[in-house]
Amino acid sequence: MPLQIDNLTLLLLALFLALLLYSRFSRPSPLVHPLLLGKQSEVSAVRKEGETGVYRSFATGQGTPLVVRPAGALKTAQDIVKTPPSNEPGAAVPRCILDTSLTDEALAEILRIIPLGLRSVYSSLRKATPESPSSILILLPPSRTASLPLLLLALKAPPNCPLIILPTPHLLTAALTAKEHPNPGVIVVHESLAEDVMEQAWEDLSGTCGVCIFGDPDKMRKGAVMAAKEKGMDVAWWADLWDAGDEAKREELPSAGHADVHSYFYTETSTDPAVVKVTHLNITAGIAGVLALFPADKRPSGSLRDVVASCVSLNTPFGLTVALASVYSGAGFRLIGRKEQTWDDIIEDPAGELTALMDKADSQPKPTILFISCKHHRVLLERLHSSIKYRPFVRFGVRQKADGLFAGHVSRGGAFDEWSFGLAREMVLGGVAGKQLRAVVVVGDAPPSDILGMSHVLLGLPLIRLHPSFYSTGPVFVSHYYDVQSQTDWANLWHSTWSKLEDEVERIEGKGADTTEEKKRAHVGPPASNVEVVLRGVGQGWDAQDGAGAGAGAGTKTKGGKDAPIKGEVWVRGPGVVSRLGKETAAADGWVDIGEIATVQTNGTFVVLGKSVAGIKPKAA
Amino acid sequence: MTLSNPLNLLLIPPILYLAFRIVFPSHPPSTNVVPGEYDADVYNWMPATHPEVIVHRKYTAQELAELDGKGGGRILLAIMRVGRDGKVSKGLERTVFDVSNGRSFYGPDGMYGNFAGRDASRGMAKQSFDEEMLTPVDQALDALDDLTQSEVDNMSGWHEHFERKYTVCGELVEANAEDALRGL
Repeated sequence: MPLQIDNLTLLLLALFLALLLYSRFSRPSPLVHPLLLGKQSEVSAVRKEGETGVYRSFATGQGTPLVVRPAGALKTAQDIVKTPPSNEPGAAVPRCILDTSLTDEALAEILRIIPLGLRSVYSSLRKATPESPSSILILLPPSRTASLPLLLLALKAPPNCPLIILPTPHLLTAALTAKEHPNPGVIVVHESLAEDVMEQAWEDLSGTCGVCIFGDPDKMRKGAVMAAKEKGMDVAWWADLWDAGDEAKREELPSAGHADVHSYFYTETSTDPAVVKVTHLNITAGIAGVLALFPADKRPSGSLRDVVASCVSLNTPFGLTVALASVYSGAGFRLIGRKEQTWDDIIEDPAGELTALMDKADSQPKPTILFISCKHHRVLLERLHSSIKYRPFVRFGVRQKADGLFAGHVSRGGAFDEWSFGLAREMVLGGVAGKQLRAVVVVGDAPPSDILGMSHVLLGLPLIRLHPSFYSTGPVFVSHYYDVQSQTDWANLWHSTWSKLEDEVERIEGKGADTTEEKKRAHVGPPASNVEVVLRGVGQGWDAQDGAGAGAGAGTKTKGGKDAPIKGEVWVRGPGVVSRLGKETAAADGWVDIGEIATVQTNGTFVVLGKSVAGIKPKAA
Repeated sequence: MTLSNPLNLLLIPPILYLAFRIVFPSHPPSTNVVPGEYDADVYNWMPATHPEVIVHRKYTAQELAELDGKGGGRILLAIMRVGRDGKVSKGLERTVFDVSNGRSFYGPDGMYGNFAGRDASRGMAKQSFDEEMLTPVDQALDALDDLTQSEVDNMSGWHEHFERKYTVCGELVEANAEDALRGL
């Protein structure tokens, strides 16, 4: 019987072909080609015994000089805010800087007035010369609004006045009596500590040092201020500096050179406080490192109305660099933290901090780029998960997402994505993960690798991991912007209960640098764009072999016959790397021990395990 | 236009299956084994081995002589690094270069094959590839103290050329000094 081909057959045939072609060619394509993710670092051709080769990011490559500034025009921190302000389209729009709305013009004017005001009020700063500089000590709590003077002074300090930045009042005596840096000519302090600081400054520096009180709009401390003035100390309120600067002669203050000291940062360690000296070159290199973590079209920018929210306090070199990079790129900048003035930097209530960030009563813009800690990230995922899990058909949305992630693709905005996750993202924690969010960076300890898949599904964004160090202004390690590789158990992604994941996370955090758990932390990627990394003290199972030079793979093998990650102490070098003053931790050639242990995997990414014995006191994050 | 046509009936199941798979994609396989090689269909992969990195180490003349490329192995040779004052003195480093990339020159069949696995300093200085330029491996290293200044400059120029072109992978030292370092 001859086969009849009628219209329905043709229709079905066309439908079949269409579906076949669609399912074959409309596979989600990876955001970054997996070949690039298989080689994320370039290693040097030669290594010394007991060390690995020198690792650089693959984009940087071996042999090229490391980038010291994001653009030729940015030679010092004082070039960050252009004066006069540029005529770019976004320049007239005010942006939010530490919860204060400022246009570029207003910011430039503020930065012109502050140094003049400081010099006119404080005689010690007027007398500062390149041979005998006088520093400005800044003792402000890391809360959301109290850091504004620090940021403004970091952008433009009076000439020959490096900043001394303290993270806690306990270090005040050490800073006032230290010999390694110039004595403070003025202390900028929050009003809650004003009286104690005035007393101590009088004791230690006998009146050569002035005090500037911030955060006291109603001048409640008038009594103490008057008493100090009678003794002969220069004391004023921060608000008074405007008038003083306005009245002062309009003079052009000399600008700094890139090799000049910008600031000194203190941190507590288990022994003496550690001090690092940061020059303008370190600052610009750090800004270049931070901006390089974004692809060129995704950098924070004023024209996109970007607002960067960071949980890293401005009292650390990296925290300050993130703020300066945001200001430089024209974006707004906000801090994630407690609203009240407290010195404790342990994050006790990450959910509360994120909700406070999004509080509508403040009428502050919503952040589009987040630099958050592991704790904030986990609480965000927990809340999203619990708000979604009882929605009907949510597993269907998850399955679609998992399919895309398995091929390396993640995005927001598809119909299924909107329906499954969109509402929850707008509701949870004030909508911090809502439509406006376009990048999430986890700073500090990396999250456990098990939750990477869940993070990509719930947030709809790749998760960038960044590892900073006190000894570097820029990031040390930062993962690829589009990297969504993970070893998630996709079939059980939704079946596994959240409590099981919680238990794992508790276990991992409790163990810290326990080597049995090292495979559980997500990798933090290759070295940052202008940092070189070498692992030293690589020991048993990976010694240099005799005879013809052995490859790096001549060490331990994993069960599958593949090379195990190589473990060692992390030493870094680069234009953004600073060494500790006083104790010469820096070895020859500029290598600095940052005091951490890490392993390097075969694709050139690093997993940071914890602090080494010589490390600085860990900050809870 | 009827479903009784067998061709139509045959087409319906594949269409339904394809539509089902588009709407409900199959679960990705959950394996704990990450592929060690790149494949066009694979996204989560990790190379099986670390990249090859040469170890910088000290070689004695005997050890260096083994690495002359005969038998397809690496080819090394040594040239003395002239000091900052432009003169040759005792105790200067003799840099070992990995010239495996230049097998056509320094391999067994190459024009300069004599230099493979040996201290090529004198040959570089005097611009000669003769056997007399090479010191036998069982003797002490060539002191190079009878070179004229122009020969020393020539050798220094060759050292710079090699530093740019090839990898520095070690240092040639006396056999006794090596033993002393090893604590024998």
